[in-house]
Amino acid sequence: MTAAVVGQLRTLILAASPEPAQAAAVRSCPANAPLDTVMPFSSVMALGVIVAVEDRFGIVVTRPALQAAFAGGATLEKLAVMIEQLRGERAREGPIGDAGSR
Amino acid sequence: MTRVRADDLSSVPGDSRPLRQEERRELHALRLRGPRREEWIRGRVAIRRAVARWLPQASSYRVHTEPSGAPSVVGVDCTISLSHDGRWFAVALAPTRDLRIGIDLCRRVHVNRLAPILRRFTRRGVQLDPVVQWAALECVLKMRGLGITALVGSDATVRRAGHRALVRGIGPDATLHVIDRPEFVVVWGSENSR
Repeated sequence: MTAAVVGQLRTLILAASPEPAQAAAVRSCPANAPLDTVMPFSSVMALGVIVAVEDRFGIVVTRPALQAAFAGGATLEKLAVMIEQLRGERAREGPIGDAGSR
Repeated sequence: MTRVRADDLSSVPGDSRPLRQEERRELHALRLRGPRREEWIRGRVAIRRAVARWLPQASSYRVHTEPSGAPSVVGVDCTISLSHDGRWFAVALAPTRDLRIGIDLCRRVHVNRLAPILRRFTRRGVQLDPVVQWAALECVLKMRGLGITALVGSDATVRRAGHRALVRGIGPDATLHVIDRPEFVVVWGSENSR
C-alpha cells in the first residue's frame, strides 16, 4: 500500500462528502481506522467514493473486491489495497480489459 | 401498525448524557469520533423518543447495537429501523417482533451523486427520481439485512405509484411507502419476518 494512494483517497473522500466539515477527520485519521468511526460514511458516500476511485485510477471495482474492502468496515488501507490489486490485474490484462467482469 | 417519524435533531446535544450505562459502554467500544459519535448518540435519542411516543407504557428498555450495526430495542416487544442523513433522523417502529421493517431517509442534496451511482452499480440505471429510487433500494436492503454490495450488478426495478414504490428483483417484491419533503425523501416498508 502506498502512502500516495492513501493520500489521494483522503482527497476523494473529502470531495465526495456533501458536508466536507463533517468529513474533515479523514484528512488525518489512521489508515487502518474504519471510516465509519471517524466520519458519517453512508452508503451514498461509500459508493460515491468508489465511482470517484474508478474514474481517478482507471479501474473497475468488482463486487468481490468491494465486499473485501467493506468487510468489517472500509478503511483507507483496505481501499488502497483494493486499488493496487485492481491496478495490478489491469496491468496484467493489458490495454483491452474485461469490462464485462463487474 | 408501523409508525414513522422524521425529525431534525441538530439541536440535540451530541454528548453522551442522554445514554444509559450499557449504551455508553457500547459507544465506548465502537470508538466513534467527532461528528460520527454525535450522529450515533442522536440516533439513540431518536429511537428513545419514538419508543416514548408510541409505546408510552414501556418503562425499562435500552437501545442495543446489533453486530451488524443496526439498532434494536431490548426490554419491550417492538421492531425498529433507523436512518439518518445530516441533521435528519427517521425512525420506523412496529409494536411487534414479527415484522421486519426498513426505513431510509435520503436528502435531496445527494441527487447529483446518486445518478452516477445508480448507473454504475445497477443494471437498469436511473428509473425515476434518483433520490426516491435510492431510498427505496436502501429500504429493501435494510429490511432484509443485506449490505450495499448486494446492489452491485442488481437487476432490481423500482416503480413509483403515488405514495408507494414497488421494488422488484431483490428477493420477493416489496411495496413501500414514500414520504416526500422539500429537503428529503423517506421510504419505509415492512414485511412478515416468518
